[in-house]
Amino acid sequence: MTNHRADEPAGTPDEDTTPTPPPVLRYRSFSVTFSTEHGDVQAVRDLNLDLYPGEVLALVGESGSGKTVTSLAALGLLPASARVTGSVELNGRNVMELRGEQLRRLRGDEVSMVFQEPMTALNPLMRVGRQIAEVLTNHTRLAKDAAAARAVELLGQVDIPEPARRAGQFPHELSGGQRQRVMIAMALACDPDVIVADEPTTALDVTVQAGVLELLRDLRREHGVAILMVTHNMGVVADIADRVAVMYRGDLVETGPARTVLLDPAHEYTRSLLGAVPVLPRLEVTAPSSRGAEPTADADTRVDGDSGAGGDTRIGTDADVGADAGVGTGAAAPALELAQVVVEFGAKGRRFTAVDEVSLRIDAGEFVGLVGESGSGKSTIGRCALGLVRPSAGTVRLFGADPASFRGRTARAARRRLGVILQDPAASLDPRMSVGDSIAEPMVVHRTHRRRQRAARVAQLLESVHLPATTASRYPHELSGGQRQRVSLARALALDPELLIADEPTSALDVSVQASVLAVLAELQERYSFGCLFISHDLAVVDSLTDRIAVMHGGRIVEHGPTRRVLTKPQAEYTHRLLTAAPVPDPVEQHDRRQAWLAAHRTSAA
Amino acid sequence: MTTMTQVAVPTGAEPPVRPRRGQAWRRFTGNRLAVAGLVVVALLFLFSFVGPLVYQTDQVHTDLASANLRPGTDGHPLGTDDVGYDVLGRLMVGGQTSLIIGMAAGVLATVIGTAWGAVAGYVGGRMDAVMMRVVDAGIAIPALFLLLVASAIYTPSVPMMIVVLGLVSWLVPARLVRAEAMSLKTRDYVLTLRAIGGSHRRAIVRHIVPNTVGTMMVNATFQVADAILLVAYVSFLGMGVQQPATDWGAMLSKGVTYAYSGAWWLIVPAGLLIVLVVASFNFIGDGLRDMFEVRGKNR
Repeated sequence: MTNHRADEPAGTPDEDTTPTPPPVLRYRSFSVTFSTEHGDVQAVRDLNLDLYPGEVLALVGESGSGKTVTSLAALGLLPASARVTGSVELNGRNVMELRGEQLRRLRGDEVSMVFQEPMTALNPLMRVGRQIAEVLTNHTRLAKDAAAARAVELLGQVDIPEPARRAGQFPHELSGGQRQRVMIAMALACDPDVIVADEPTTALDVTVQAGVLELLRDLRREHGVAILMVTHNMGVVADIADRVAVMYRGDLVETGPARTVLLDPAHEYTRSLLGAVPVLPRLEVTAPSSRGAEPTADADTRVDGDSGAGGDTRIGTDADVGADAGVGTGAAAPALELAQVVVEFGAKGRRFTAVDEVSLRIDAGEFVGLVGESGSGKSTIGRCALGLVRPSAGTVRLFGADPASFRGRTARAARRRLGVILQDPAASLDPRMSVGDSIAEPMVVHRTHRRRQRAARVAQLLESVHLPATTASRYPHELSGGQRQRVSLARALALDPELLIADEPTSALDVSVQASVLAVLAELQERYSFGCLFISHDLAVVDSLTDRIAVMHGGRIVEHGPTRRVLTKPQAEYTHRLLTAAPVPDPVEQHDRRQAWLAAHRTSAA
Repeated sequence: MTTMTQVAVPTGAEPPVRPRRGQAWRRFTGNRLAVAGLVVVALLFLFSFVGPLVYQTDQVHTDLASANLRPGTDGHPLGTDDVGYDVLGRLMVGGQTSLIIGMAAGVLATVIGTAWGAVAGYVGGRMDAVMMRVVDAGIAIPALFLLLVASAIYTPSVPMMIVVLGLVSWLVPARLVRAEAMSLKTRDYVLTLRAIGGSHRRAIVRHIVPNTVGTMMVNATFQVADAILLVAYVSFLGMGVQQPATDWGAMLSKGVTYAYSGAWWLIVPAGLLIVLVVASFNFIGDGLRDMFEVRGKNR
């Protein structure tokens, strides 16, 4: 066990005086090839990479870059169909040559793994304490009760409150962040030299992510374990990594200290990758003012004053936004208006309030962001606006009609003015319908175009989202995620909608793809000036597009105001927490943010 | 120190649109048994429907003078049966009945089952509960029993057999489709359609049903095989189509009487064909499943 306490990893230029310890993990001319129906695919090409004791190395790249394959190789976990050349040495032994018992012993003792999705990585039928103890009894000669005691100790080490009680619980009784902590405890159980973490925080909300990253930082400091962290999130890299290795389609294009790579990237691809990351405006780091203070700040800090409609901000608690306010045909009629909306799920006795008295108004041409973490009720609001969920109380008015009533001329007419994009690129298009038919569907439903006109319109729409017109005859499974979401956008715009409702349209996409989809959306909004309700968990994504932001937490809108003001001078304590938790790809600024987060975290924990 | 390798990078580009077509078919043909099944079924159709044009025999008038002839005698390659029909010619005529009833009943069952299941699964709630209890009740009645009762009341004919078989075998497909519809209706593309004002009818017809095609195609082949087998059962019990019409099951039934006197040619060819056609349809179903399931992974 190498117990290294170096604060800075080896290989940093200003640390040349310390003798460089040998790397724990060493890739040498490592290549992986898979045979597929379309011929051989080289997932990793001639990779040379070292991981030194006690450092955090971030392996960065977009989907298909080979980063996961590279990380799995460290545990000898490559699928049988992989053909490998070169070597992966762990403590001097080539992992690729180990078999059976040797490999089993290596995993856990010397190297362990933290997966992306803790719910599927844990056994749902087994108490978490036992799952950790099982690792111990498998790898050491610890007796059962000693292992159980050690499991509780490990749960304490990963900062799970009341570890003894938690050890007796099942995975579903823990929160997502706690489950990931349990995974980390399992990975730590046998004191490995290397932990491979494959997107360990991707499935988590930002505020939870910040906590898990903080934990990993502590573990590195206290146990001297080296962490190979696979991620696509440049903010996470800036937050935790000592060194960065950037991969692109199987090639390692750049390695270096995190600061150098992030602030002064040498390779063109790294630059474009960093350029695609949506960046939050610099937060004015002050102690958060208590909720509801400084109500006057709205008017004078408004930055995006270019669209006239966006100027007027309505704080979500306005009670005078009456139920009948939007019915008229006056010019000021809002596109969408929610008044005191409450949504409850579940049967009597175990009712759950997903949305609690939310009021929100979107005027014509106004781009509004609705931001919140999972479970905040933001998607439920979106579904209310679409009429897919009927509110338990309050009113929803879409162009003056109630969207929950599907019948009737007015509801139909209101829907004709609506465009929709939903989250999952895999499910947003019917796999059995050609792209052209999917885009034409709104025109068929509302009988607005004849057959020949439809084809022309489809071609025109495809062009406006920068896809070739020939895409119309393709099927969704032939398209990439980004292309599919652009098709969804084209479909949403088919009838020149006045309001677009977009529920996390880019959250499943790579950053560069996300950037291109968002650019198309912004461009089209400029051209057609439709209003938009943009639902997202990512503040930075919302920043570049919207005039106003509403921040949701626990079913309520906790803050509501012009985008720039909310992001730079948040008033609600929760918004502040959300903003400081979101990592930015600038290591210097991220350091400040982390301090602010820690400060806020300590005060809220106290 | 920053190390860097020079790799040409088209920035922000997305992977090119993937090629397609032919792959699914290649996956089907990758299953040897499925291809063999397809060939055998095709040959059996040729045999039953084109065969009689080439090899003409009298399958209407009995000829007791040349009854129970051994194979090979007097221009009867497979001999004759107890009333003097040429066995080879009779296999062709019987094959027509078996294949027509099997295919038609399979298609009927699939169509009814898909429609029923799609509506029940999509609508859900009380409607679903009622519709599925009907299915449960139907499954509780043995199909063979129903067929025998129907045959006892009406004169068994080909259309009657198709209707009765279709009406008893749509139940299982209905359950399959319902399960799929329940998951499909929560997909984003169905929600999107509803949000922009599309009708329930359109959701079912354009989105739910087409997406169950994979499951249903596979199931339909098994339905055909089952229907052929069921016709054979009923006919074997003497309640199938009546003379001079026949099918493979009826031939088997009559042949059994003479099996002890060594008339093997009355049962072996008919039995062999039943096994062959049922096995082939099952193999085709397996091949289709390979084809659709891998495609499913690509979605």
